[in-house]
Amino acid sequence: MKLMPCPVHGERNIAEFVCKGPVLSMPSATHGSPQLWARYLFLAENKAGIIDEWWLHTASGMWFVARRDTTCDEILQTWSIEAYRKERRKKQKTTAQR
Amino acid sequence: MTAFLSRRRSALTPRLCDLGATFAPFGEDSSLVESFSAKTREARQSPSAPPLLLCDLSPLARIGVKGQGTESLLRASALVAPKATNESVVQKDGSLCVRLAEGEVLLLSALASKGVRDFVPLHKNLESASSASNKRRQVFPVAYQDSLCWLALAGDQASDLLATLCAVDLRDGIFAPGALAQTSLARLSALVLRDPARRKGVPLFHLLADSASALYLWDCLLDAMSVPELDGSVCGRQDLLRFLATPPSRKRQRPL
Amino acid sequence: MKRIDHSVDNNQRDKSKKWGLWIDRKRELSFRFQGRRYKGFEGDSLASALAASGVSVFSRSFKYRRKRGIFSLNAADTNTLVRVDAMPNLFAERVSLREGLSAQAQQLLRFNPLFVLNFLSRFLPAGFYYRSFFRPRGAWMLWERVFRRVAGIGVLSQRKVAHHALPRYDKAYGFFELVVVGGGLAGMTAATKAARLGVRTLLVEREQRLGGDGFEEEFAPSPSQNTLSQKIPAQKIPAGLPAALTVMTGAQASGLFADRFLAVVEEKKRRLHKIRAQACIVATGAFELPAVFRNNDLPGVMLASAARRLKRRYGVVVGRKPVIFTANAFGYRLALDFLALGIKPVVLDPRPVPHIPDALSIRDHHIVCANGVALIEAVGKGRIEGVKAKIAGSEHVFPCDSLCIAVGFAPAAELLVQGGCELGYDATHHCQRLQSLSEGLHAVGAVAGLFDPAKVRHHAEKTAETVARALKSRRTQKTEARNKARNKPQNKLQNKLQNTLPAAALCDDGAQNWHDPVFSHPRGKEFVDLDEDLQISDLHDSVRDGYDSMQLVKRYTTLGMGVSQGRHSNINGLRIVSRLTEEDPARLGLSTVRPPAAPESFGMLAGRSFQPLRLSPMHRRHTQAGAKTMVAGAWLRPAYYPPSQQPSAKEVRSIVEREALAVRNSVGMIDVTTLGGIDVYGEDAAEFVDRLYCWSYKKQLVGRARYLLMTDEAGVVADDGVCCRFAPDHLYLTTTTGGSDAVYRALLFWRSQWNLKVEVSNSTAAFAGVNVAGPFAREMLEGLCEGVDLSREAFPYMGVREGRVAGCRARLLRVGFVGELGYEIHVPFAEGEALWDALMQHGKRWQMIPFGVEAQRLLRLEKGHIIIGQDTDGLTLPHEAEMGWAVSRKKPFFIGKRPIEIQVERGITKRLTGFTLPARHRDDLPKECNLVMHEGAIDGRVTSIAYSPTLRKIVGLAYASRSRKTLDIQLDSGRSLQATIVPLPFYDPEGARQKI
Repeated sequence: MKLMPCPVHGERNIAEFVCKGPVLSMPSATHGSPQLWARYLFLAENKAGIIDEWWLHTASGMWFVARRDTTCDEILQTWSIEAYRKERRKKQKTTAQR
Repeated sequence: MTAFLSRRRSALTPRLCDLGATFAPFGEDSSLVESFSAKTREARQSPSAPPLLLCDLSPLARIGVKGQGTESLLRASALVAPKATNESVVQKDGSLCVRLAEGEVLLLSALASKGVRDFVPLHKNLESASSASNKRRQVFPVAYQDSLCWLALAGDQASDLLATLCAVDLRDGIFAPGALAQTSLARLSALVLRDPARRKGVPLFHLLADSASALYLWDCLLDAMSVPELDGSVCGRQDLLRFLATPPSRKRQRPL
Repeated sequence: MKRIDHSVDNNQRDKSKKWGLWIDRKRELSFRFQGRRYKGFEGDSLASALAASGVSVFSRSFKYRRKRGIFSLNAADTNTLVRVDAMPNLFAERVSLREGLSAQAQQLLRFNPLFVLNFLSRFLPAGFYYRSFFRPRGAWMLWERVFRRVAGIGVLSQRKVAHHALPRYDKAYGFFELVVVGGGLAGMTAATKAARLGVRTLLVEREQRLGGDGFEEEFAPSPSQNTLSQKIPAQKIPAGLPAALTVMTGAQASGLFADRFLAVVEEKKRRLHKIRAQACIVATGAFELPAVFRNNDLPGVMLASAARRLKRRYGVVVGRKPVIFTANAFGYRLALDFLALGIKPVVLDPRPVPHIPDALSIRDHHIVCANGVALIEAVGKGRIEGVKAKIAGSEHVFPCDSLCIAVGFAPAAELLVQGGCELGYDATHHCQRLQSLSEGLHAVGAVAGLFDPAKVRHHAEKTAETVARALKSRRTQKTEARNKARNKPQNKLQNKLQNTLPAAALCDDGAQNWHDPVFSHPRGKEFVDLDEDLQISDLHDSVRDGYDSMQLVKRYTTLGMGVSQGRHSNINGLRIVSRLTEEDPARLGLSTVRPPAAPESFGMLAGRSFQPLRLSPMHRRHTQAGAKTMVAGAWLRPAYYPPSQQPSAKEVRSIVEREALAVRNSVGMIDVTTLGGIDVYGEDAAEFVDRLYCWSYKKQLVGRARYLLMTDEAGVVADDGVCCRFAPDHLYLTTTTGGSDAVYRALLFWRSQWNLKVEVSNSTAAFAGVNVAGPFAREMLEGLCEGVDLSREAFPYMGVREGRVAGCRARLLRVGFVGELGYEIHVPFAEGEALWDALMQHGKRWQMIPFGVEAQRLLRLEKGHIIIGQDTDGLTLPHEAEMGWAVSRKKPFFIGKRPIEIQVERGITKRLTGFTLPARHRDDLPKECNLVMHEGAIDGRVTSIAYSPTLRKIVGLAYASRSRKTLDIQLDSGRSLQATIVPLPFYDPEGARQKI
């Protein structure tokens, strides 16, 4: 049974968690085209590599993000939502600066 | 007074009635099993195994507080909250404050509480926060008094018992007094708290889970306790307090 | 029947009594096998006790029903599967002898009519069932029944099971820093070293005692002690250490799962341990390999390790005239063992020239020893009587009563392979060897290819030190992380444990594998796999038929698919196929190893399993009233309240109709505790609900209730309920029974996505609820209510109020699910039973009865109200379910908005339609999911249907294309019915009755 290093509760059996899927941004609700929406809803990228995913710790109702390498099913890092947002902002800043 | 006369009844009332418990009035409109009759108590305890006791504390007071204004409300109510999530702190009156998440705490009354006047300043502050004039209130109550049942498990082998139901390591030295595990107990989402006031002596665990599953959890615990190496039994609140007050006997068994 | 006292008890025991280190000769036990009484000693296994009394036949083989006896004595073959009491398929070598034990063989031993198959082997090659026994047409149905009776091994006898009390099985979690699997020399050394270094260690050993196949004197455990300190007298264990080391004997690690999660099966305590280890050292040893030659399955032919084990542990001498066929030092050591007992063995060595160290060890004993030997066959009737071999071109016959084989070992690396480690064939040393180890896994001892005790000890200690160092530094890392600020990203713990495999060169000669222990014979019966009765010709046929990769050979011939899972057959099978296909064995490879590595009884898997159950606080009252309960998710709900036990189907229908009519005509009460309740607080509470549900809630007034329709991101209907506004910043949402968990999770998810000032809490179990409905509902409740005016003006339809009912603080909702004047009363969970009692007592005046879920479903159907999941499915859009009115067109955003728009633009083809049928069809109603047809094509399906006692006709809902006047419903029988389409609702179209 795999271990998930939850950012708040520590390492727990994966049976305590539910995965929602990759972190994606929703297309516009007012003028998103049908093609864009169809791709968002029904076509999974299924990337073989490192992806960020939404996970839920069912016992505490806490959502968080886990970075996972799908080729070897290894969980690389996990963040609480605030920490993830901070991380994303930092990354955007550095890419903008480049 | 018997169970079916008090308006508020623990979810475990059917099981306690089957065990022949007598309910004493508790608080304003509730009832609590303080102790089982001497006959039932002796019949259950095995002389060989160290005692392992399970007690229903559901009638005792508890309340949750949630929101950005939680910290200030607690301070205003003379309560000390733990700094980190999944920890708990004993208050001056013996009650416990447990941090469930960054902006959420659970308060458990003292074990010896009489059931009246628990958390009075807190309730007053919550009331005033929710009055219609205060539209921008930042703090809200969570109805844990009803949505959670509360069981206490005491004894040297408590963590061995829980190891048959729970995948988190709750043993002495690993799971510190005051620590909280929000995890799955017999496939039920539950809070498992090691009482912070008991650093020496017999360990005491508080188990809180969804009230609708209280009977299921009770049955799982009794079934797990019925294993000959553990041989636990059910007790009332006064029995539990007495057991916790007696000096510890360090005879430990490792049934693994 | 005359009782036969077996006079030859223990005639095969070592007379000097020097050997038998596991048995206690002072404690004799008596037991039965095949009805005969035997005697053994405390510490014996069933196999050793039988061998000690000269029993050589334990079973008959799977296909040809040939006599079989002890072969590996290591659960690596199925020759010794017996039934003990009620339990079939137990390895006799794993059954601890106890007083009064009664064992049976699982086939007819003495005379077995199916032995004729032995002579029909040409007609039963591997895969015969693919090509024969199916003509004439239908013949296979008959033959299959025959084969099913003949195949199989043990039988589960219901009668025997009923006779013996069923034991209880249990499970428990365990947590250790280090788990060492295998309590032989390597395992014990590693475990004690790690424990001495302060690591919390578990040592797991499947036998009842530690020591393994410790062939060296000082590691032989004494029979009466079971403490580790006595096991290794040479090493001292400091005081205070026992807490660091836990030893579990009689427990076998059966599976190694992700992140070192182990399943350990402890049969004697009937407990399955689920153990999390931070590191694992596997010391499971190696399987000795057999030679393949004609009649190599005769009782009396066994592996050298089995013979040594019988002598050392149990003091059993396997023969007085043994022949040893050996290509390594182990066979020579067995020869020395025999010599120590005063028996002169014959040693046959296939190696062309004498191996100096081995030859030297027996030089002074003047025994027959030959080199360059090629085995021809074993001869004997039911038992071995002689060995025919070819030495230097000429045939020789050696009469014997025992033939012991020592031609090499394969690592018992099952757990490691499960954990992702790789095994490969080493062509230089002709053996299988570990090539790589996964993170956190280590191998020591024979499984790593080391056999020399000094080398094993050294390597095991070094490994334990490496592991201990890594685990200790991880410990400090963890405490540091805990002391730092919370909610920081959790980095993958550094310091991956380094694995250390000994270099191939270290693996010593003692375990040298003979590269070709396969001797084919023109008359066949050279068994490669004893479990499956596979001969060399079967593998030859498979390759000839084109199934020539190991995966195909395995599946075509069933090589290695028996109970022993290839432990004695895989390597020789690989060598044979390699020769046949002229392919390098390293390239051919072997198939995957999967759990369980140990036999697991079903009880072990089923014991202490959990299925959470949720009950309303009124449940006791429902059962006392005789309610028939139904399962709804994890909840139990009353379906209906029958007056007597076991009503017939027709009676059930009339009970449900009676309950429904009571609601229509007077008043009824239903327990609705199971419905979900979620409290949403905060400044942005209404904005939040607006974004999650289809309708508009920002302008909802305090004291009002509004229908809630939830769609998922694709616009598909997900859940429904009611939204009650108790304050500008407090909304209370209800959900369906089955949807409460999913809705709460969705709310938590979306709350985390948006920066709104809102708090959400799941109050499903905080409230118990009842729905009191019927024309007399107001009259009845007025007497019990305080602080709330129930009059129509003060409390209109779709209003919400707070007050007290029967002294309980309550939230009252006026909603119309069943279409009558009704009040949904939510009180604190702990007060549910008190409320129910008060209402039942008070309601007697109006003959109020409780009604169940079945009646509620009927009532709502009469009003045309949908049930999510029944009248909707995984693709239903709101407009298809005629819920377009609940979808706001003005809101800028809600979950599912754009996909709904897109699909509405495209056009909605099917809609939920109401239909009726005349009452005469009520005994042969169409069923839910019966199809609606149109011109021979499927147009839709029926989703709900029932006979309405109020309207006295059949009403239902179905999906169908628009613009139809009638529905053509096809029943299961093929008959079709024409149903009339009518507008919804069927009953009280103006909704006047719920608004009074």
